[in-house]
Amino acid sequence: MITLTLKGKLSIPLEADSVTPDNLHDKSNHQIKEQTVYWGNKKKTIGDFFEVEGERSDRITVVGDCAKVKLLGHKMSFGAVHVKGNTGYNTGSYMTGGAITIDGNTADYLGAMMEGGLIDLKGNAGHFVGGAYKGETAGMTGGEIIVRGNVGHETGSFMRRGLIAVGGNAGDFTGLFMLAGTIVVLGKAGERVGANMSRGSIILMNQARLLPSFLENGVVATPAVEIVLGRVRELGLAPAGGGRYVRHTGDVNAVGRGEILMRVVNRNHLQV
Amino acid sequence: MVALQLGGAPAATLGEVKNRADLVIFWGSNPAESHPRHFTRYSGSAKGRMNPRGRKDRYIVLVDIRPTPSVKYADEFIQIKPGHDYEVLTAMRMLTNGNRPDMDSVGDVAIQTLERLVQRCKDARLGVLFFGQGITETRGKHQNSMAIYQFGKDMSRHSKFLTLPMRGHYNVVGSGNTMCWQTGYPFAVNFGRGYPQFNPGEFSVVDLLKRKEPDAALIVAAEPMDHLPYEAARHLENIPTIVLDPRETLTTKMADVVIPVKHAGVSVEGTAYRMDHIPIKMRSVLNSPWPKDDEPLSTIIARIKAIRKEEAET
Amino acid sequence: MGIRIVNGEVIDPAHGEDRVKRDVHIKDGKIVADAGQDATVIDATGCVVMAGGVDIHTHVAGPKVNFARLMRPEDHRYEHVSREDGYERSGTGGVAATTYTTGYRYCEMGYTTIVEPAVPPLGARHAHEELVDIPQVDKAIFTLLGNSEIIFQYLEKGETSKINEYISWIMDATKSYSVKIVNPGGANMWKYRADIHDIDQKLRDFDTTPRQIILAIADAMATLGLPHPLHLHCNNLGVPDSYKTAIATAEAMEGRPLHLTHLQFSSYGASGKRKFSSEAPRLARMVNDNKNITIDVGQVLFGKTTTITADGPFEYHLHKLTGSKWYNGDVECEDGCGVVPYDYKRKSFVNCIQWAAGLELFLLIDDPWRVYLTTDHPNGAPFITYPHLIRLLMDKDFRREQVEKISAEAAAEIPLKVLDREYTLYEIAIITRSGTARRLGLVNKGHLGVGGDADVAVYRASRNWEEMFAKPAWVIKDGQVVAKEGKVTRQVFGTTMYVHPARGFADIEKDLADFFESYYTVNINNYPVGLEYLPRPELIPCQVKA
Ligand SMILES: [Zn+2]
Repeated sequence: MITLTLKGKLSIPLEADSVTPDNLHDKSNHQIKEQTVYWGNKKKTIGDFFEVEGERSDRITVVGDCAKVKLLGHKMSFGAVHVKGNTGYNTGSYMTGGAITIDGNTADYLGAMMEGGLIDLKGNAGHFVGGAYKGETAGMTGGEIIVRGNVGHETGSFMRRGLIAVGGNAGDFTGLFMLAGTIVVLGKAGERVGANMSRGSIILMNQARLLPSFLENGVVATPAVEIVLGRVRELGLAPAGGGRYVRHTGDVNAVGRGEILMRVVNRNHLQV
Repeated sequence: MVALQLGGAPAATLGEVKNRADLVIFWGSNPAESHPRHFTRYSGSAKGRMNPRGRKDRYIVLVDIRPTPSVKYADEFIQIKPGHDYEVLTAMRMLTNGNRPDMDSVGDVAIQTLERLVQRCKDARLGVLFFGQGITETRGKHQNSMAIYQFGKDMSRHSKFLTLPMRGHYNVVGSGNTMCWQTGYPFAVNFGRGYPQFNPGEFSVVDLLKRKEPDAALIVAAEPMDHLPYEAARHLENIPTIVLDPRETLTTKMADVVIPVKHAGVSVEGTAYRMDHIPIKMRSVLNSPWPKDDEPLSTIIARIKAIRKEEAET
Repeated sequence: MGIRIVNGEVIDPAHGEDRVKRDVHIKDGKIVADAGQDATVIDATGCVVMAGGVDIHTHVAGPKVNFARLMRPEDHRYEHVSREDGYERSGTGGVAATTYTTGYRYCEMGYTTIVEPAVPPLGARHAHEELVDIPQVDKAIFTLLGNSEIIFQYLEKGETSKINEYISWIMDATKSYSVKIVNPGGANMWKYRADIHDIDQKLRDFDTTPRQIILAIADAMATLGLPHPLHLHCNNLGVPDSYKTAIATAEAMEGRPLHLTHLQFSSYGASGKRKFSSEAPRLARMVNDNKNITIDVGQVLFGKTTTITADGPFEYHLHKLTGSKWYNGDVECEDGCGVVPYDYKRKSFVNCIQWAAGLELFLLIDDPWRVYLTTDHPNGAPFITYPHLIRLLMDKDFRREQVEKISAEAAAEIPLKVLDREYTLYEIAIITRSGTARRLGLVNKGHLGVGGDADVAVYRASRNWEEMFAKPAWVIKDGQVVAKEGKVTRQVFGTTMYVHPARGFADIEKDLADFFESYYTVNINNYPVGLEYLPRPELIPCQVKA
């Protein structure tokens, strides 16, 4: 086990993409301290900002309020990173394997462009969870992201594969331009869910106002949803099971083969 | 800008509007107040090749959440419920693509009204949709612009159609273009790692200041104390600031160091890019004792390089 | 102080020198007979010495290139030039790289002169502003005139001499080097969402045809004595049977000098099961038979790129086909442009035919002085792929390996599979520098004779031509070493070359004033680009024939 403990409070952000099992697993304690991090416009080392304990391990624990520490677990492909605190922008971006656990909150672009692995966030996330960077036309292509708190806008934008499950509420444009994959929102979803989605599934446990470009297509109780929810439960969230779902297909302005499944909360639902 | 990056747009220079447009839609824009000359030069009464009679050859539609002084210049006003631009545009895209929304109205606009508007676009020789801050600064932000561009692209399958932003501040297009050819990105560029990185939200000025991350600021011909949200501007008061500006402004009053410079297009010649990206030569009409704005910047850069070199040698 | 390059083998086709062991002397930015005793010696043992590369057609600056940069931040995210690597100015790469990066990359391949071939007059000021920020190379722009409404009006009235005056005026007003026509009349028709499909098709609002446009402009250029002849992108580009339009266009010229650009994109037929075939052999024959014609190929290479062209209707067609991002930018009274990302795939039958057609043009055109190496950067591929393309031309075994990798259906149909020709180094020197310099009318470039510009590339000989041309051992620009082992060592700035035809324009002054007043949205007084936009201007003389 390698433990990095943040020495002080940061106001200028730190770009710490060197903090991955891929980079640190074969390094001595001294070598870990010498790894590059970027602080503002200065090139610094991990040792400048963190107390470093341990060496040569694919398990990294980061301790402290790292809300200004960006890119933790960036491009990691194996091992585990456990952050006992908050993290900053782009945590787990471009990740291809392994696991990241964050006890606190994080900023925007959690797991952006992710290809594989697991991210488990105990707190809240910012915008673009599992999203695509600006201009990209394919975002997350694999892996799983669990957020126990709330997320911001554009969760899973341009998502191509994988699973994003949100325990709390989601902002607007969840599943924007989604190409495939699955998003589950246990709390309330904001406006314009699935805008421009061409394929993929969005499962909402509460009602949301949908765009005119989604067509209601009957009430279903499908085993496919239960399989997804079963996996979400394995990952530690607790969605209700066995319900019925109103199926909406769209976005007819895109390919139109996506679906939004909205759980039937009460009998009056269909009149709402 | 971000919307352009997401999907592109059908666009043209403003002369195309002047010469050919027979349908002009202003959406979330109040040109009578924000761009008073736009109407006479390009989009309203301007005469051109296919519009020899000017205003009489154009049908003008205004779309907004409330009547504005521009209404009296329009042939039709469509009032939509605040915050519903995206929904209305989604319905218009459906109508363009041959799908009728399953509802009577959207955002307080009757579907028949939208149907008529879409048909007008399809029948136009050249339709143009100008959109302004009324849509780019409300819920959905760049996704609203994106919906406009998508509508323009959908409509391009049926008729000649353009979607053009109504941009404001002097030469913001020029700085965007220059940043783009030098860095690849029009704004929100971070050079911290020795090369340009781009991520709006992470590296855009407002967000950086709101998060109190910068520890110094160099401000060139901008007026953040007036234009930025209060909580962003307030951070500037707590950090060292250098301001290059020809005039006294709220920002120069706050600054630690003010370097007065010549006023581009007034006391020094230069180039400004119009909202349709056409560069215009700006002439010098007045004398000024101050240096050109690139001179202090070059001096500062040279000094920083010298210091870096000294540091590297010791 | 001068430079003496010793022990190298000089390849200088302009002087018929093929691997001649001789020293090259450089002083004061020029090739000289003797650089003197104090000259710095560069030991080029095991190297070939050539003039710096001259690219006749590469989209590197101006409004549509900048839209290509703007629209694709994802193109820049994965490649950068960093201050930490010793470059004066950082930047980003991708296929539409930033200006400084573009200059560095050209230099690092041994190129010292480049031409941006498609600038609408209203975009000239922008293009020149970008050229200021492209280091390491000499530069020039061509002005787009094939959809000029001013020219159309004169054509309707048959006022040829006024067309001469207008082109003289616009060359000066845009500080341009020559004229390019893209899809004559097509960009104008695109303003009504239509296109041109035949060189004798009438435009919608002007009583003229592509044939008349092309001939009038070509004749005006000859009258003015512009150093480079008409540079033409044909109608109907990119579609099956485009080759017929190319041949009809060539015939229409009736012996007048013509440069057909990126001919590969006009070399398709409609035969075969897929109704898409390579007719490159026919076009090669056409070029072989017509000494007035030169071409550049516009080779397609597999991979992701961004297409950028003034051919607005073509780009719309491509956008509909791929569903990709699409930018369209019509320019008032003048022209238009489009930008669409594209991915050339080995699995795609059509893309494989395109790839083969380009190579077939290279291999079937007999005279290397009339075929030039381009990828129509970035339309067929980014220019950094030139070393790979050179290897495809020089190494038939390598080419055969590549044919094995493409779609089997396409591989079965392409004429390429029976072609055994291998380019020699001498021929490569022609198609990348000596030939292009000659066709551009640049008497000081593309050769290593006394009096030439001291732009030199020294390549370490290798049987892997790709490696050899990717990293020249030394690059010299204007007599200074600016790159070593494929890495820029010194930032310099080249000139911007332009022409200033002698013809006055008194007869059109009033017409222009009226036209601007009626149809433009810019003031005519603010329209011309002054020399203040060219920090290092280089006037290239026009050659008016008596
Ligand atoms: Zn081209």
